[in-house]
Amino acid sequence: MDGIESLRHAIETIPIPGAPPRLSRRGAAVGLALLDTSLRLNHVRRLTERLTVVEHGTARRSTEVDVSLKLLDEGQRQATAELQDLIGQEHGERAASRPARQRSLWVPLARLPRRDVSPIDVFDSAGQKLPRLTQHEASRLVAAGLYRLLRGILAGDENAQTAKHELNTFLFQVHEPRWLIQQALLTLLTERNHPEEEFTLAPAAGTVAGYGRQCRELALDILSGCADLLVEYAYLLNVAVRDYMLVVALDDSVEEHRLSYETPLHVDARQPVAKEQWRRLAASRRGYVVSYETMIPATLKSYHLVAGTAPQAEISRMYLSTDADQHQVDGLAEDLLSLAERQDAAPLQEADGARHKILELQAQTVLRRLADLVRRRKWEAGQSGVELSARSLPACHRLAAAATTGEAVRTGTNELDNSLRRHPEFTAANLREAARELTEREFGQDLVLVNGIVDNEARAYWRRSGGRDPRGDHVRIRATLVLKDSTKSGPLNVTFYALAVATVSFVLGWMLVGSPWPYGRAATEALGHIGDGQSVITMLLLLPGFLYSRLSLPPRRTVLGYLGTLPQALVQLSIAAIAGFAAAVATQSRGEVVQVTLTVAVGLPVLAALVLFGQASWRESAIPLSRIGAPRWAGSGAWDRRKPLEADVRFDSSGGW
Amino acid sequence: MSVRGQRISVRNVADLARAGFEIARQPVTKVDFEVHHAVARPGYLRELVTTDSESTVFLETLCSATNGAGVVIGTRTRKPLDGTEVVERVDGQQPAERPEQNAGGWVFHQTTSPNPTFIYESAQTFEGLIAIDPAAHEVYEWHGLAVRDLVREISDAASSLVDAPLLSLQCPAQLPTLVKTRNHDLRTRKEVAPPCASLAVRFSIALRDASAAARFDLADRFRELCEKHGFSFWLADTRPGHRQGNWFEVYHADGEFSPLYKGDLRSRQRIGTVLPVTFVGPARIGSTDAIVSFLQRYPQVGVVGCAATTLSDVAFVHLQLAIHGVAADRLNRILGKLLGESTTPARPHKLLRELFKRLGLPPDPDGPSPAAQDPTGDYQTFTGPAFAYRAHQMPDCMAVWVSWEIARQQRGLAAPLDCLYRALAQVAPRVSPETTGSAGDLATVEYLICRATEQSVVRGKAKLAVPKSVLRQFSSGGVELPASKLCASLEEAWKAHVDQSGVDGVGELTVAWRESWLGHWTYS
Repeated sequence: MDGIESLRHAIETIPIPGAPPRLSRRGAAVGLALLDTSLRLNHVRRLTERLTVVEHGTARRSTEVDVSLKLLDEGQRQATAELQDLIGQEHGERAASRPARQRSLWVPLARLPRRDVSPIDVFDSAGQKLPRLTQHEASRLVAAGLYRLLRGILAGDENAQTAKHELNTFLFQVHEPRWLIQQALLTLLTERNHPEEEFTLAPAAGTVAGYGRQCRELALDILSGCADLLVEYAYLLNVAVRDYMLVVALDDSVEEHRLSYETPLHVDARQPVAKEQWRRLAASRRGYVVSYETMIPATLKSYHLVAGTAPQAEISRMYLSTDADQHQVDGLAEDLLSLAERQDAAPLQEADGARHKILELQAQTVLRRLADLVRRRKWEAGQSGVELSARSLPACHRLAAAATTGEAVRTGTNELDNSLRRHPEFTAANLREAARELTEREFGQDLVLVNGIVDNEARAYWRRSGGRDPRGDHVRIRATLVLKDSTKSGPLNVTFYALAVATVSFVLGWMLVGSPWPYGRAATEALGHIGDGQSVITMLLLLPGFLYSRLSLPPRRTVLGYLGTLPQALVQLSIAAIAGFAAAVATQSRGEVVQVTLTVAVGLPVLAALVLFGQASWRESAIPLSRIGAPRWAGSGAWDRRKPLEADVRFDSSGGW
Repeated sequence: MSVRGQRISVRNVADLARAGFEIARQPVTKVDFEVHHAVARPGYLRELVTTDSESTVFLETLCSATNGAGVVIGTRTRKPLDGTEVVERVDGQQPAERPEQNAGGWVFHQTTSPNPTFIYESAQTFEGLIAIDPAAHEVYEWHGLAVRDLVREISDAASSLVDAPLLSLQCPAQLPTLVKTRNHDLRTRKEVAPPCASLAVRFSIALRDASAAARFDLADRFRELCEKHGFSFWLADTRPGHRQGNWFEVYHADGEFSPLYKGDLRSRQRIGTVLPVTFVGPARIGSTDAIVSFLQRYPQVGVVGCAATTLSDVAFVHLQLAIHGVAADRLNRILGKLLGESTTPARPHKLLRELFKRLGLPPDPDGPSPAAQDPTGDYQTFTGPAFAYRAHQMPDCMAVWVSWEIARQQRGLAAPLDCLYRALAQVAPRVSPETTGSAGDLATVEYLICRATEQSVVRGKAKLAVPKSVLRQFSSGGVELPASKLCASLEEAWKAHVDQSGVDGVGELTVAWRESWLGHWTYS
């Protein structure tokens, strides 16, 4: 249920108050300032996330935040300072009784999804734990603020002053529906739990709407009647209900703070066993693919993502991609299409009229934006060492050139005409093609490819380029890394082990038969009557068993274990094969049976060794970027028709927004 | 509308929380404001903001002066201490405000509810400039009708075509700088400064969906209108790297006006009286349209100047009405009596209808019929006094654009404006050998806007009319133009005065004679 639905449900189910609920007016301002600050996070200068992936399916994420109190607005600062007094007042303390230097500001650091709420410790740079605002304290303030805002929105409506109008009645005449909404907000935000599903209380037959029913209905009607006024408000309420604000007390006398905290990472649902097993087997060749998604505020000046793993593993590839330009590119594609439409409709002959001028201005605006975007992507590609050639986006390149080179055309009267519409490349077909390319090649996604990877740690750095985004939205960050076993000793050891197992079986068979070729009538005869079966079995089980104990395979839960699933499976197969041979000997089976098990006990380990050996020689070639979901404009992505690989594990902390 | 426009931006949500915070932190839930209607004489704004700076603080401000009358609007001017909530009348019949009189003008103090859902995004606007009669030196009756009809068209396009609010409206306005080249050769490029103000309407419409398609629709509508009436039309240059004050010419009129306005003999008369009227209420789509379409029902009433904007989520629409055949004295007498009655309603339609009735102006029976839904039902109207029309005080003026920033908790507009005037007096102590006054005594603020931005600062921009004869002092020596030299030395002097005054938090001072050069030092 989203915010407004929960509110409606609360209005339906809570008791109708007979007096206005206690809400503090100063608290309302503070609550709204907290919401505003936590949405904007304008005081966060740098965000560094450290992601450590050692075990399969879990990761540690520690976040470091550089906060500058200078960047808080005057209003936000005032509100956060007031919060200290508000908390004290509830317990009868006076602001004056506290020494001035002990003042602290309560500052929101992040919004965390409520569903995986867990105790979080925030440390300052000296390693001291910082005091945190409890959810209960914050939610009372937010509830008061949300009510004041709702009332403010409704009072600004044109019908608020109209006598006899429902809104006027609600705001100024009848009190209970208003109190009901206040109480519902308070209940919704301060209760520990939220409604998951709506429940309805059945009305009795033969009744009409009484006083209580009318109150509830008036409140609900106001909410639905003003729904178009409340679009943004509904989002805000959703934030307040679904998210949980991390608010800490910071020393006011220090401007710059560096804080760190650890938060759990949410892993998406487990896969079916068979699929999981198949993915594990495939992983040893292509690597362990981790994808990580998060949201950051667009005002953030700098974002770092540091990925690390166990010392025995290495990061073979890592890239970071954001949708910071997605909105711009979507708009650009749409604008190119409407330009094409107009270009078709307006013939070039009337190239002097006002209609031509309007089209010309739009054409130049749109194409210059396109040219700048192409330039930026080219610089990005160059930095990442991938290719962005004119072959993959031909129309975009042609139009960008037309907009940038500043070429003019000579008209019939030998006049110079700077008009872009007269440029030979400015055709409706090119415009449509460019719009298609932008969407198809995922041009809205930027790319940071991490090149300097030091063993088991990779660092990606991102910041917004291309000026301020007029919308200032949140930016979705998507990072993918591919982990590999760096020691290479695991598969190698397993190869040797398999060869050793094969050799033991082969040598034993040779000795039992008396010839290296254990087939034929004589051999079958010899294998059917083994004299000292006990010793053979001891030999068969002791030696491989001893070797197995020296093999030191990584635990299954770790990433290394995940990567080593295939070698491990091959080891187990080899042991099974040799155990089968031993069993055949032990039961004094017929010669043919022993012959077959001997063949398997030799052949299977040899095959396993071959498989592992083969893999070791292929694995050097890196996995192509397009296969791990990098934007399709980068490198050979435009031509790669294969589906991108699914990640082995996905961490998503974007909170479902 | 496309999907793009419907995506909720987190910033808009944060802006809503911010607006709610502004409401919740005030002692009163409403926004208080002041409207001054005064005679436009040099230095009137300076006196206004500096003399009683102890009692009122002008932070977010709109100011405009033309035809001999000026308006100054300031929001949240009240000090927190004297905040008492005005008792609300639930029946919505708020009486019209009785003005306070001060030197040469009327002052109105009132409060109104803001509309916190009105989210203003400056980056996505459709800006245009339509010149009605740029060559005119005096304002004629037909100009008033043309401006009125044009404002109606603009507000109608905004509300009906793109369902968006009108963010600002200004008349008269400065036309774009003329750029001339010979034979398309870059080396022959010349710039000619346009007159300080011309009879033109400059407007900006908020776009929820900033797509090219929406811009085409709007531009086409205005193009048709301009071609029909013979008005020149410019669009704000939207190409990357262009700013406010960069214009792109779409249609150039050759001086042939449509017979609609020129047919009547009466309409060729010069106007005699201007009546300032300011409408204030919660910002919402279609309010300007409702007001102007009401005025269209009175064929004797023209609009000869306008200034409209939204400050603190409250819409302010200021119109200068020219009423045919009514002298200023008679108008003021009737107005004084009307406002003295306690039953006079404040609602725009009701107050104006009553005023026009007493003036003996019947509504045009063939005119547009009143709309069923009135978005200005809770607006307040502040009228008068009427002033005698005066053409430009200074026939030959150049425009000097200035911009500045002040921290929000400071004393507001007083310090930067006072320093600017002192700097003007210092830079040009004698405007010309014939007259005695300095530039500081003769310069008028023609347009000024101060707006609070996200980052707790208030940004201001103003256009000053300075007599052109000042330039003579700067004409000798150097490669730069005299106007640039004036601006550069004015900027230096202004900065020095601000430093000397010891006022904290004033910064980013720039002076330029081209609007698009603001925010940059003078010699680029």
